[in-house]
Amino acid sequence: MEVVPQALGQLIEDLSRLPGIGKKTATRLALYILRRPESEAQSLAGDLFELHGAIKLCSNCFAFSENDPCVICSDQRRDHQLICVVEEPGDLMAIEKTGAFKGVYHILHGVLSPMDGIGPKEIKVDDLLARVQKEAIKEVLIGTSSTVPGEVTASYLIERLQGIVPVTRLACGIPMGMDIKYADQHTLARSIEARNRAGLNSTRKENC
Amino acid sequence: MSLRNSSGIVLKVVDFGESDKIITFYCAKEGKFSCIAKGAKRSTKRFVNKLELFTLLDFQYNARYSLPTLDQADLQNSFTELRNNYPLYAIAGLICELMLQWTHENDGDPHIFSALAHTLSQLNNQKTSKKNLLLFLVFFYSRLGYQPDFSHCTKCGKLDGGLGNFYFMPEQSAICCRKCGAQTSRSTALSLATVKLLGQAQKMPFLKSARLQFSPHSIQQSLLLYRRYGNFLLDREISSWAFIDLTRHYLY
Repeated sequence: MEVVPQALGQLIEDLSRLPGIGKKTATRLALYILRRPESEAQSLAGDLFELHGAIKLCSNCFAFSENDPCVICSDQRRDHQLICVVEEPGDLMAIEKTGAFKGVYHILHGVLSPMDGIGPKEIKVDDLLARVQKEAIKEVLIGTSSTVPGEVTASYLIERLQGIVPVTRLACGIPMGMDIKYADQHTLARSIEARNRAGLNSTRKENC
Repeated sequence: MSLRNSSGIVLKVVDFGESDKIITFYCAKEGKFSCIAKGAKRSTKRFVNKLELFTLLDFQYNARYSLPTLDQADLQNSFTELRNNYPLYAIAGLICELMLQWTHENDGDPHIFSALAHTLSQLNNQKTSKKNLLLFLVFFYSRLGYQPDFSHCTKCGKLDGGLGNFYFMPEQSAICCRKCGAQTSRSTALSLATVKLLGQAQKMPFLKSARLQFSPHSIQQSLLLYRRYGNFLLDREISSWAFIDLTRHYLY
Protein backbone atom coordinates (compact mmCIF):
# COMPACT_ATOMS: atom_id res chain seq x y z
CA MET A 1 0.00 0.00 0.00
CA GLU A 2 1.31 3.42 -0.92
CA VAL A 3 1.41 5.54 2.27
CA VAL A 4 2.75 8.73 0.68
CA PRO A 5 0.74 10.02 -2.31
CA GLN A 6 2.79 10.03 -5.50
CA ALA A 7 2.79 13.82 -5.98
CA LEU A 8 3.93 14.41 -2.40
CA GLY A 9 6.57 11.69 -2.69
CA GLN A 10 7.90 13.28 -5.87
CA LEU A 11 8.15 16.71 -4.17
CA ILE A 12 10.00 15.14 -1.21
CA GLU A 13 12.36 13.46 -3.68
CA ASP A 14 12.98 16.76 -5.51
CA LEU A 15 13.53 18.79 -2.33
CA SER A 16 15.92 16.23 -0.89
CA ARG A 17 18.21 16.82 -3.89
CA LEU A 18 18.91 20.35 -2.59
CA PRO A 19 22.20 20.80 -0.70
CA GLY A 20 21.94 20.32 3.06
CA ILE A 21 18.42 18.88 2.87
CA GLY A 22 17.86 15.26 3.78
CA LYS A 23 14.74 13.12 3.48
CA LYS A 24 13.35 14.21 6.86
CA THR A 25 13.72 17.94 6.21
CA ALA A 26 12.35 17.48 2.69
CA THR A 27 9.27 15.74 4.12
CA ARG A 28 8.77 18.55 6.64
CA LEU A 29 9.06 21.21 3.91
CA ALA A 30 6.75 19.35 1.54
CA LEU A 31 4.08 18.94 4.24
CA TYR A 32 4.42 22.64 5.14
CA ILE A 33 3.89 23.64 1.50
CA LEU A 34 0.87 21.34 1.35
CA ARG A 35 -0.69 22.87 4.45
CA ARG A 36 -0.31 26.46 3.21
CA PRO A 37 -2.90 28.01 0.82
CA GLU A 38 -2.68 26.87 -2.79
CA SER A 39 -1.83 30.41 -3.95
CA GLU A 40 1.43 30.32 -1.97
CA ALA A 41 2.43 27.01 -3.57
CA GLN A 42 1.61 28.44 -7.01
CA SER A 43 3.65 31.56 -6.30
CA LEU A 44 6.63 29.42 -5.23
CA ALA A 45 6.29 27.22 -8.32
CA GLY A 46 6.05 30.33 -10.51
CA ASP A 47 9.18 31.81 -8.96
CA LEU A 48 11.09 28.57 -9.54
CA PHE A 49 9.82 28.42 -13.12
CA GLU A 50 10.88 32.01 -13.81
CA LEU A 51 14.32 31.65 -12.24
CA HIS A 52 16.31 30.36 -15.19
CA GLY A 53 14.46 32.52 -17.70
CA ALA A 54 14.91 35.75 -15.74
CA ILE A 55 18.41 35.34 -14.36
CA LYS A 56 21.53 34.91 -16.46
CA LEU A 57 25.25 35.36 -16.04
CA CYS A 58 26.68 38.84 -16.60
CA SER A 59 28.98 38.49 -19.62
CA ASN A 60 31.54 40.74 -17.94
CA CYS A 61 31.87 39.56 -14.34
CA PHE A 62 29.81 36.31 -14.44
CA ALA A 63 27.55 37.37 -11.55
CA PHE A 64 23.93 36.24 -11.56
CA SER A 65 21.87 39.12 -12.89
CA GLU A 66 18.60 39.99 -14.58
CA ASN A 67 20.44 42.35 -16.94
CA ASP A 68 23.61 42.02 -18.94
CA PRO A 69 25.84 43.79 -17.93
CA CYS A 70 24.82 43.48 -14.27
CA VAL A 71 24.01 46.38 -11.94
CA ILE A 72 27.57 46.55 -10.62
CA CYS A 73 29.26 46.41 -14.03
CA SER A 74 26.96 49.11 -15.42
CA ASP A 75 27.40 51.46 -12.43
CA GLN A 76 29.65 54.29 -13.65
CA ARG A 77 30.34 55.50 -10.09
CA ARG A 78 32.35 52.36 -9.38
CA ASP A 79 36.05 52.01 -10.11
CA HIS A 80 36.20 49.84 -13.23
CA GLN A 81 39.97 49.66 -13.08
CA LEU A 82 39.88 47.65 -9.85
CA ILE A 83 38.68 44.04 -10.07
CA CYS A 84 38.00 41.82 -7.07
CA VAL A 85 38.16 38.12 -7.94
CA VAL A 86 35.87 35.91 -5.84
CA GLU A 87 34.96 32.24 -5.86
CA GLU A 88 31.17 32.33 -5.79
CA PRO A 89 28.28 34.83 -6.13
CA GLY A 90 27.75 34.48 -2.35
CA ASP A 91 31.25 35.92 -1.78
CA LEU A 92 30.35 38.96 -3.88
CA MET A 93 27.30 39.54 -1.67
CA ALA A 94 29.45 39.23 1.48
CA ILE A 95 31.93 41.85 0.21
CA GLU A 96 29.14 44.15 -0.99
CA LYS A 97 27.60 44.05 2.50
CA THR A 98 30.77 45.63 3.90
CA GLY A 99 30.37 48.68 1.65
CA ALA A 100 34.17 48.99 1.70
CA PHE A 101 34.83 47.93 -1.88
CA LYS A 102 34.03 50.29 -4.73
CA GLY A 103 35.51 48.40 -7.65
CA VAL A 104 33.98 45.69 -9.84
CA TYR A 105 34.07 41.91 -9.56
CA HIS A 106 35.02 38.77 -11.42
CA ILE A 107 33.39 35.53 -10.28
CA LEU A 108 35.35 32.34 -10.90
CA HIS A 109 32.43 29.98 -10.15
CA GLY A 110 34.66 27.54 -8.32
CA VAL A 111 38.17 26.89 -7.08
CA LEU A 112 40.92 24.59 -8.29
CA SER A 113 40.23 21.10 -7.02
CA PRO A 114 41.89 18.30 -9.03
CA MET A 115 40.25 15.65 -6.83
CA ASP A 116 36.85 16.89 -8.02
CA GLY A 117 38.00 17.24 -11.61
CA ILE A 118 38.13 21.05 -11.46
CA GLY A 119 41.16 22.61 -13.10
CA PRO A 120 41.87 26.07 -14.54
CA LYS A 121 39.77 25.35 -17.64
CA GLU A 122 36.69 24.57 -15.53
CA ILE A 123 36.63 27.96 -13.80
CA LYS A 124 36.63 31.47 -15.31
CA VAL A 125 40.39 32.01 -15.28
CA ASP A 126 40.85 32.51 -19.03
CA ASP A 127 37.97 35.00 -19.03
CA LEU A 128 39.71 36.96 -16.27
CA LEU A 129 42.98 37.04 -18.22
CA ALA A 130 41.16 38.17 -21.37
CA ARG A 131 39.37 40.87 -19.38
CA VAL A 132 42.56 42.15 -17.79
CA GLN A 133 44.28 42.33 -21.17
CA LYS A 134 41.32 43.96 -22.90
CA GLU A 135 40.39 46.57 -20.31
CA ALA A 136 42.67 49.13 -18.67
CA ILE A 137 42.85 47.42 -15.28
CA LYS A 138 45.07 48.96 -12.62
CA GLU A 139 44.70 46.36 -9.88
CA VAL A 140 43.33 42.88 -9.35
CA LEU A 141 42.36 42.07 -5.76
CA ILE A 142 42.19 38.34 -5.18
CA GLY A 143 39.40 37.63 -2.71
CA THR A 144 39.33 33.84 -2.62
CA SER A 145 38.82 32.14 0.75
CA SER A 146 41.77 31.22 2.87
CA THR A 147 41.00 27.49 2.64
CA VAL A 148 43.52 25.22 0.88
CA PRO A 149 41.69 25.27 -2.52
CA GLY A 150 41.13 29.03 -2.18
CA GLU A 151 44.79 29.68 -1.43
CA VAL A 152 45.97 27.49 -4.30
CA THR A 153 43.61 29.26 -6.68
CA ALA A 154 44.99 32.60 -5.47
CA SER A 155 48.59 31.41 -5.99
CA TYR A 156 47.73 30.18 -9.47
CA LEU A 157 46.06 33.49 -10.39
CA ILE A 158 48.99 35.48 -9.00
CA GLU A 159 51.35 33.43 -11.18
CA ARG A 160 49.21 33.91 -14.29
CA LEU A 161 48.68 37.64 -13.71
CA GLN A 162 52.26 38.46 -12.80
CA GLY A 163 53.76 41.03 -15.13
CA ILE A 164 50.37 41.87 -16.63
CA VAL A 165 48.73 43.82 -13.80
CA PRO A 166 49.47 44.62 -10.12
CA VAL A 167 47.87 41.92 -7.96
CA THR A 168 46.83 42.23 -4.29
CA ARG A 169 45.38 39.64 -1.92
CA LEU A 170 42.85 39.97 0.91
CA ALA A 171 44.71 40.24 4.22
CA CYS A 172 44.87 37.06 6.24
CA GLY A 173 45.40 36.80 9.96
CA ILE A 174 43.73 37.15 13.34
CA PRO A 175 39.95 37.65 13.03
CA MET A 176 38.41 40.56 14.96
CA GLY A 177 37.38 39.56 18.46
CA MET A 178 39.76 36.63 18.66
CA ASP A 179 42.12 36.04 21.54
CA ILE A 180 45.55 35.41 19.99
CA LYS A 181 46.16 32.60 22.46
CA TYR A 182 43.68 30.54 20.44
CA ALA A 183 45.20 31.28 17.04
CA ASP A 184 47.15 28.44 15.47
CA GLN A 185 50.82 28.99 14.73
CA HIS A 186 50.34 29.40 10.97
CA THR A 187 47.60 32.01 11.26
CA LEU A 188 49.69 33.93 13.76
CA ALA A 189 52.78 33.68 11.54
CA ARG A 190 50.78 34.95 8.54
CA SER A 191 49.44 37.90 10.53
CA ILE A 192 52.97 38.83 11.62
CA GLU A 193 54.19 38.64 8.02
CA ALA A 194 51.28 40.78 6.82
CA ARG A 195 51.49 43.32 9.67
CA ASN A 196 50.53 46.93 8.94
CA ARG A 197 52.12 50.18 10.05
CA ALA A 198 50.02 51.59 12.89
CA GLY A 199 49.69 55.26 13.74
CA LEU A 200 47.27 58.14 13.97
CA ASN A 201 48.15 59.58 10.58
CA SER A 202 48.65 56.27 8.87
CA THR A 203 45.53 55.62 6.87
CA ARG A 204 47.44 53.85 4.14
CA LYS A 205 48.03 50.17 4.73
CA GLU A 206 51.77 49.95 4.41
CA ASN A 207 53.79 46.87 5.11
CA CYS A 208 56.43 47.42 7.75
CA MET B 1 31.05 9.68 26.54
CA SER B 2 33.52 7.45 24.76
CA LEU B 3 36.26 9.90 23.83
CA ARG B 4 39.19 8.56 21.87
CA ASN B 5 42.42 10.13 20.63
CA SER B 6 44.08 9.65 17.30
CA SER B 7 46.33 11.30 14.70
CA GLY B 8 45.44 11.60 11.07
CA ILE B 9 45.94 13.40 7.78
CA VAL B 10 42.91 15.12 6.26
CA LEU B 11 42.05 13.56 2.89
CA LYS B 12 38.68 15.18 2.25
CA VAL B 13 36.49 17.94 3.67
CA VAL B 14 32.81 18.18 2.76
CA ASP B 15 30.42 20.89 3.94
CA PHE B 16 27.37 19.44 5.67
CA GLY B 17 24.28 21.49 6.38
CA GLU B 18 24.52 25.08 7.56
CA SER B 19 27.59 24.89 9.73
CA ASP B 20 29.01 21.37 9.94
CA LYS B 21 31.75 19.62 8.03
CA ILE B 22 32.42 15.94 7.42
CA ILE B 23 36.12 15.22 7.56
CA THR B 24 37.81 12.10 6.20
CA PHE B 25 41.21 11.28 7.66
CA TYR B 26 43.77 8.59 7.11
CA CYS B 27 44.99 7.38 10.49
CA ALA B 28 47.69 4.90 11.36
CA LYS B 29 45.34 2.94 13.61
CA GLU B 30 41.82 3.52 12.26
CA GLY B 31 42.68 3.59 8.54
CA LYS B 32 40.25 5.71 6.57
CA PHE B 33 38.13 7.45 9.15
CA SER B 34 35.24 9.91 8.76
CA CYS B 35 33.71 12.07 11.45
CA ILE B 36 31.49 15.12 11.70
CA ALA B 37 32.80 18.43 13.04
CA LYS B 38 29.77 20.23 14.44
CA GLY B 39 29.77 23.98 13.88
CA ALA B 40 33.12 23.81 12.07
CA LYS B 41 32.12 26.27 9.33
CA ARG B 42 31.44 28.98 11.89
CA SER B 43 34.18 28.06 14.31
CA THR B 44 36.59 30.89 15.05
CA LYS B 45 38.62 29.11 17.71
CA ARG B 46 38.26 25.37 17.96
CA PHE B 47 38.59 24.29 14.33
CA VAL B 48 39.78 27.36 12.45
CA ASN B 49 42.54 26.55 9.91
CA LYS B 50 42.69 22.98 11.18
CA LEU B 51 40.18 21.04 9.13
CA GLU B 52 41.90 21.72 5.84
CA LEU B 53 43.12 19.32 3.17
CA PHE B 54 46.47 17.62 3.82
CA THR B 55 46.79 18.85 7.43
CA LEU B 56 48.22 16.49 10.03
CA LEU B 57 46.18 16.66 13.23
CA ASP B 58 46.06 15.13 16.66
CA PHE B 59 42.38 14.90 17.43
CA GLN B 60 39.84 13.67 19.91
CA TYR B 61 36.52 12.21 18.83
CA ASN B 62 33.38 10.85 20.38
CA ALA B 63 32.73 7.35 19.08
CA ARG B 64 29.28 7.04 20.63
CA TYR B 65 27.45 7.62 17.35
CA SER B 66 27.62 5.74 14.05
CA LEU B 67 29.25 8.85 12.55
CA PRO B 68 31.76 9.90 15.23
CA THR B 69 31.84 13.54 16.32
CA LEU B 70 35.09 15.47 16.26
CA ASP B 71 35.58 16.97 19.70
CA GLN B 72 38.85 18.85 19.34
CA ALA B 73 41.82 19.03 17.00
CA ASP B 74 45.40 20.08 17.46
CA LEU B 75 47.33 21.14 14.38
CA GLN B 76 50.66 19.33 13.93
CA ASN B 77 51.57 20.31 10.39
CA SER B 78 49.56 22.08 7.72
CA PHE B 79 52.12 21.67 4.90
CA THR B 80 51.52 25.29 3.95
CA GLU B 81 53.75 25.29 0.88
CA LEU B 82 51.25 23.00 -0.85
CA ARG B 83 48.82 25.92 -0.77
CA ASN B 84 51.20 28.22 -2.62
CA ASN B 85 52.10 25.94 -5.47
CA TYR B 86 49.54 24.51 -7.87
CA PRO B 87 51.69 21.63 -9.27
CA LEU B 88 52.53 20.45 -5.74
CA TYR B 89 48.88 20.77 -4.74
CA ALA B 90 47.84 18.65 -7.76
CA ILE B 91 50.32 15.92 -6.78
CA ALA B 92 49.22 15.96 -3.12
CA GLY B 93 45.59 15.86 -4.34
CA LEU B 94 46.34 12.80 -6.46
CA ILE B 95 47.89 11.01 -3.48
CA CYS B 96 44.85 11.81 -1.32
CA GLU B 97 42.46 10.67 -4.05
CA LEU B 98 44.32 7.36 -4.29
CA MET B 99 44.19 7.00 -0.49
CA LEU B 100 40.43 7.59 -0.57
CA GLN B 101 39.93 5.02 -3.31
CA TRP B 102 42.18 2.30 -1.99
CA THR B 103 42.01 2.38 1.81
CA HIS B 104 39.24 1.16 4.07
CA GLU B 105 37.81 1.89 7.50
CA ASN B 106 39.24 -0.03 10.46
CA ASP B 107 42.16 -1.13 8.32
CA GLY B 108 44.99 1.16 9.34
CA ASP B 109 48.55 0.63 8.19
CA PRO B 110 51.19 2.61 10.14
CA HIS B 111 53.65 2.17 7.25
CA ILE B 112 51.27 3.75 4.72
CA PHE B 113 50.51 6.54 7.21
CA SER B 114 54.24 7.26 7.67
CA ALA B 115 54.83 7.16 3.90
CA LEU B 116 51.94 9.56 3.33
CA ALA B 117 53.18 12.00 5.98
CA HIS B 118 56.75 11.76 4.66
CA THR B 119 55.69 12.33 1.03
CA LEU B 120 53.58 15.38 1.95
CA SER B 121 56.50 16.71 3.94
CA GLN B 122 58.90 16.21 1.00
CA LEU B 123 56.43 17.91 -1.36
CA ASN B 124 56.08 20.73 1.14
CA ASN B 125 59.85 21.21 0.99
CA GLN B 126 59.49 21.35 -2.82
CA LYS B 127 61.82 18.43 -3.29
CA THR B 128 61.72 16.59 -6.64
CA SER B 129 57.97 16.37 -6.68
CA LYS B 130 57.31 13.79 -9.39
CA LYS B 131 60.00 11.47 -8.07
CA ASN B 132 58.35 11.65 -4.65
CA LEU B 133 55.02 10.81 -6.22
CA LEU B 134 56.55 7.85 -8.04
CA LEU B 135 58.29 6.47 -4.93
CA PHE B 136 55.03 6.77 -3.01
CA LEU B 137 53.16 4.88 -5.74
CA VAL B 138 55.78 2.10 -5.82
CA PHE B 139 55.53 1.70 -2.05
CA PHE B 140 51.74 2.13 -1.88
CA TYR B 141 50.86 -0.51 -4.47
CA SER B 142 53.32 -2.92 -2.85
CA ARG B 143 51.71 -2.43 0.58
CA LEU B 144 48.26 -2.91 -0.94
CA GLY B 145 49.36 -6.27 -2.32
CA TYR B 146 49.42 -5.22 -5.97
CA GLN B 147 53.20 -5.13 -6.38
CA PRO B 148 54.10 -5.45 -10.07
CA ASP B 149 56.82 -7.95 -10.94
CA PHE B 150 59.76 -6.19 -12.57
CA SER B 151 62.26 -9.01 -11.97
CA HIS B 152 62.04 -10.69 -15.41
CA CYS B 153 60.01 -11.10 -18.59
CA THR B 154 56.94 -13.10 -17.64
CA LYS B 155 57.28 -15.24 -20.80
CA CYS B 156 61.00 -15.93 -21.39
CA GLY B 157 62.12 -15.31 -17.81
CA LYS B 158 65.00 -13.02 -18.87
CA LEU B 159 65.66 -9.41 -17.97
CA ASP B 160 68.50 -8.64 -20.36
CA GLY B 161 66.51 -9.00 -23.60
CA GLY B 162 68.59 -8.10 -26.64
CA LEU B 163 66.28 -5.27 -27.66
CA GLY B 164 66.39 -3.79 -24.16
CA ASN B 165 62.76 -2.66 -24.11
CA PHE B 166 59.84 -4.04 -22.15
CA TYR B 167 56.10 -3.66 -21.90
CA PHE B 168 54.26 -3.64 -18.61
CA MET B 169 51.03 -5.59 -18.83
CA PRO B 170 48.53 -4.60 -16.11
CA GLU B 171 46.44 -7.77 -16.59
CA GLN B 172 49.40 -9.86 -15.41
CA SER B 173 51.07 -7.25 -13.13
CA ALA B 174 54.27 -8.17 -14.92
CA ILE B 175 56.62 -7.13 -17.70
CA CYS B 176 57.19 -8.74 -21.05
CA CYS B 177 60.18 -8.17 -23.36
CA ARG B 178 59.75 -7.03 -26.95
CA LYS B 179 60.82 -10.42 -28.27
CA CYS B 180 57.99 -12.18 -26.46
CA GLY B 181 55.09 -9.79 -26.93
CA ALA B 182 53.77 -6.74 -28.70
CA GLN B 183 52.41 -3.51 -27.23
CA THR B 184 48.68 -3.31 -26.59
CA SER B 185 46.47 -0.32 -25.74
CA ARG B 186 46.81 -1.09 -22.02
CA SER B 187 50.52 -1.89 -21.87
CA THR B 188 53.24 0.67 -21.15
CA ALA B 189 56.65 0.71 -22.81
CA LEU B 190 59.58 0.73 -20.37
CA SER B 191 63.32 0.95 -20.91
CA LEU B 192 65.61 -1.58 -19.22
CA ALA B 193 66.94 1.20 -16.96
CA THR B 194 63.40 2.07 -15.80
CA VAL B 195 62.57 -1.59 -15.13
CA LYS B 196 65.74 -2.02 -13.05
CA LEU B 197 65.12 1.18 -11.08
CA LEU B 198 61.53 0.22 -10.30
CA GLY B 199 62.68 -3.22 -9.18
CA GLN B 200 65.27 -1.65 -6.88
CA ALA B 201 62.72 0.84 -5.50
CA GLN B 202 60.43 -2.06 -4.54
CA LYS B 203 63.19 -3.84 -2.65
CA MET B 204 64.52 -0.82 -0.74
CA PRO B 205 62.95 0.57 2.46
CA PHE B 206 60.70 3.50 1.53
CA LEU B 207 62.83 6.22 3.14
CA LYS B 208 66.01 4.94 1.47
CA SER B 209 64.44 4.69 -2.00
CA ALA B 210 64.90 8.46 -2.40
CA ARG B 211 68.59 7.74 -3.06
CA LEU B 212 67.75 6.19 -6.43
CA GLN B 213 68.49 8.43 -9.40
CA PHE B 214 65.66 8.43 -11.92
CA SER B 215 65.98 10.30 -15.22
CA PRO B 216 63.02 12.51 -16.20
CA HIS B 217 62.28 9.96 -18.96
CA SER B 218 62.19 7.08 -16.45
CA ILE B 219 59.87 9.05 -14.17
CA GLN B 220 57.56 9.82 -17.08
CA GLN B 221 57.42 6.15 -18.14
CA SER B 222 56.91 4.93 -14.59
CA LEU B 223 54.15 7.41 -13.79
CA LEU B 224 52.31 6.43 -16.97
CA LEU B 225 52.68 2.78 -15.94
CA TYR B 226 51.20 3.39 -12.48
CA ARG B 227 48.43 5.55 -13.89
CA ARG B 228 47.33 2.81 -16.31
CA TYR B 229 47.85 0.07 -13.73
CA GLY B 230 45.75 1.90 -11.13
CA ASN B 231 43.00 2.62 -13.64
CA PHE B 232 42.98 -1.04 -14.64
CA LEU B 233 42.75 -2.26 -11.04
CA LEU B 234 40.09 0.26 -10.02
CA ASP B 235 38.28 0.08 -13.35
CA ARG B 236 37.95 3.86 -13.32
CA GLU B 237 40.02 6.95 -14.03
CA ILE B 238 41.44 8.90 -11.09
CA SER B 239 40.51 12.49 -11.95
CA SER B 240 43.63 14.10 -10.44
CA TRP B 241 45.90 12.40 -12.99
CA ALA B 242 44.63 14.75 -15.70
CA PHE B 243 46.03 17.70 -13.74
CA ILE B 244 49.43 16.10 -13.23
CA ASP B 245 49.80 16.21 -17.03
CA LEU B 246 49.34 19.97 -16.92
CA THR B 247 52.26 20.33 -14.52
CA ARG B 248 54.81 18.71 -16.85
CA HIS B 249 57.05 21.73 -16.78
CA TYR B 250 57.62 21.25 -13.09
CA LEU B 251 60.86 19.90 -11.61
CA TYR B 252 61.47 16.19 -11.64
